[in-house]
Amino acid sequence: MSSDYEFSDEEVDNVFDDDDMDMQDQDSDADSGMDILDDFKPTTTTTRKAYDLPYESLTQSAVEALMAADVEHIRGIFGVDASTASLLLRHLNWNKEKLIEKYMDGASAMLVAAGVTMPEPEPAPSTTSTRGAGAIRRPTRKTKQASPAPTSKKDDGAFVCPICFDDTPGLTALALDCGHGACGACWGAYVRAKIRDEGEHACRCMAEGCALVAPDVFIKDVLLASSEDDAMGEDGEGAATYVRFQELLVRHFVACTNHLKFCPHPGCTNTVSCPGAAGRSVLTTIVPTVSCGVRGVVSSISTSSTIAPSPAPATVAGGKKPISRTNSMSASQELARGKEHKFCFGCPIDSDHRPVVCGVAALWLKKCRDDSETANWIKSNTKECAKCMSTIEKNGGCNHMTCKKCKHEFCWVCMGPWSEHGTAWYSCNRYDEKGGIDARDSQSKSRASLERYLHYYNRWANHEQSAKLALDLFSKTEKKMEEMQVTSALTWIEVGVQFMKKAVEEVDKCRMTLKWTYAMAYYLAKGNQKDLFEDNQRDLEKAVEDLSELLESPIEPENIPTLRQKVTDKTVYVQKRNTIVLEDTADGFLEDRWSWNVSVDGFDAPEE
Amino acid sequence: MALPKRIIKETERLVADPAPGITAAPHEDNLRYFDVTIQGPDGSPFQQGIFKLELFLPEEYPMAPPKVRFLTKIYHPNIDKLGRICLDILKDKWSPALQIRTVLLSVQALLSAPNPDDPLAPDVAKHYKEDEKGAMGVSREWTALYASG
Repeated sequence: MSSDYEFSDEEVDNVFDDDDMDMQDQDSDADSGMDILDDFKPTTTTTRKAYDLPYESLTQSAVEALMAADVEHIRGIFGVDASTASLLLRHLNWNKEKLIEKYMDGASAMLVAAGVTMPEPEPAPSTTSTRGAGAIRRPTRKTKQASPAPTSKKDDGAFVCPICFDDTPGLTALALDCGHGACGACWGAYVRAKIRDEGEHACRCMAEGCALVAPDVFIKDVLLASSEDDAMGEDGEGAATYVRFQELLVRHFVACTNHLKFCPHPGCTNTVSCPGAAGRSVLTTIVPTVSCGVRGVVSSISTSSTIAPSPAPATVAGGKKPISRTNSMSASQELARGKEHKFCFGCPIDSDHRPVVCGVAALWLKKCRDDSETANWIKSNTKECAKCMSTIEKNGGCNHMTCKKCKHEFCWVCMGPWSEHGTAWYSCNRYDEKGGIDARDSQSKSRASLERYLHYYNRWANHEQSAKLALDLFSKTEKKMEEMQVTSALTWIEVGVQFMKKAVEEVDKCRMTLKWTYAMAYYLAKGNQKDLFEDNQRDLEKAVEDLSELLESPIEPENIPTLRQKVTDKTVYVQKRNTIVLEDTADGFLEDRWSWNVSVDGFDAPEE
Repeated sequence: MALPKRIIKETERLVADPAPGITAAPHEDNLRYFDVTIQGPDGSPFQQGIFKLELFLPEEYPMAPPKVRFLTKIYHPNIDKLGRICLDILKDKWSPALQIRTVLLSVQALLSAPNPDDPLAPDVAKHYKEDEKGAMGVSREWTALYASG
């Protein structure tokens, strides 16, 4: 069962083939867990392009099933209970091989380090009183023990919580196997603070220096019990904290697993599995754009672990009915809200940065952060001294400039030497003078690199801006078409809105591609390859601009059929051009065809 | 909000049975804010110094550690010029079972055993690592200068 289990690490499977055989019989009781897994088989995506990597989206419970499988694997090998196995795995960051190796070297040391007392079959949370429980102090790696621990027992034997000093008669102590007792309210507050405030999934015993980790069942009991307690805050908070705890465990597992990545969109709890992009070395040849499968904004208030995707486009039944705003989301709302959660599996960019690879995209974003505003300001507010090239800001006064550094005197307007100006001090009409031309020439050379950067940056930023504007425009257009539908009773306009929506979506997608082609072109070394790349870029850009223009054309009831025809044709064409750009660039990466004018991680250094 | 029983009891005990070389008294208007003095431990360069500190118990105490800061200038690799202290139990190694008393004893112990390998004041730590004798001399000077009463 576990050998054909498709998410598990291949390497591990190969190493432990023998164990897999043994596990066949043990797996029968885990079948229920496996069944859940089957529900999360890839939701087959439509036509996959060559440059798309195979990936699949997993819900939180699917990831939990993966974790359970790992736990089961370890449980089978070590013969420990599930709670111990999962504490061990968490301690070693879910690295099964390392765990097995270390465990074989010294099981007891490993168990102590992971915060499990001893490998007993059932070390379930003991809710025994401190009385009677032999307080075994675990070996500690703690700092100085400063003073004797507070007494948790009074002479008369009644329990006093060492944390809150509550001595109410009949107060019962809760403790882990170590026997360090505390009252339930303190445990609740402690576990809650660990999980909520510190985002910590391992809650160690409260006693100073005690390294025992509270098992999940203990945490659950403590949290759910504290919920009932009025003093612990509103009802259900304990349950919510336990949900958060489970989420933290999943996040930890995902962070430790190479082929998994958490969806970076706020409030989303989905995970994407992309074995093709695990490891940094592949990132020079592929751009692992993935999507977690959820569309739209996920309510961050929701604490439930399963997130339902936002509703599919409502189909209006019954022919003539106009779109009712109450029960169906308008197409533009859906566009704005329902954007797919796309992100890059290989780097922190939370959108599609194809066609450019992660390393180059990161370089570009860093440059933009550092440079673009400064560069724009320098360009519009300063000039360089024609003689020593110092950058000079003119912050007042006349056009007679004297360079502070080299004392060169020149005219701010024509950049020529001041000596040629004679007595016309306050106005410059000497544009054609040779001195001025030379000065401007040298100036322009020194500005060339800045200009080059701004050329790419402005186009990069412009595409993003245009994409946003297209969405705005579409919402206006849509409204207008709906109004016309109501007044003129044209039923087919409903379909009309759909073609507009498709076109806008395509424009948005292509503008994202175009945006990143500018980042790529900025770093591409000069040559035939770059020329070809820019040809493709130009064709796509032309097509996208044409389609954008079409979308902006006035809409009248009479011209809608022709408009629809034109837009649909153009949309198909744009789609093709986009595919060409993406495919060609992706092939180029695989063939190692692109060379850069800077050094990029993982690529050969530029020649020169 | 009423003061938790834990803080009341701890305060009572601190006043009734103070740890040797340590005083801690809460402010009248804010019972979570303590004025603290710690005597420099014998055998350390801080011997005979009286160091003033402030200690504050945050709302989450004892689930969160108290905030402690030196007010007296001190030349120590784990205490920076703002008086902030680098001590594991004040950060990630905090346990709700620790108390004001234990924290202050740990701070006192830190004075006897500086740890230049985990520095908060890198220049002092460098001095301590390269020329311990000289550095301890400076610590003594500072103690005489700033902590002599």
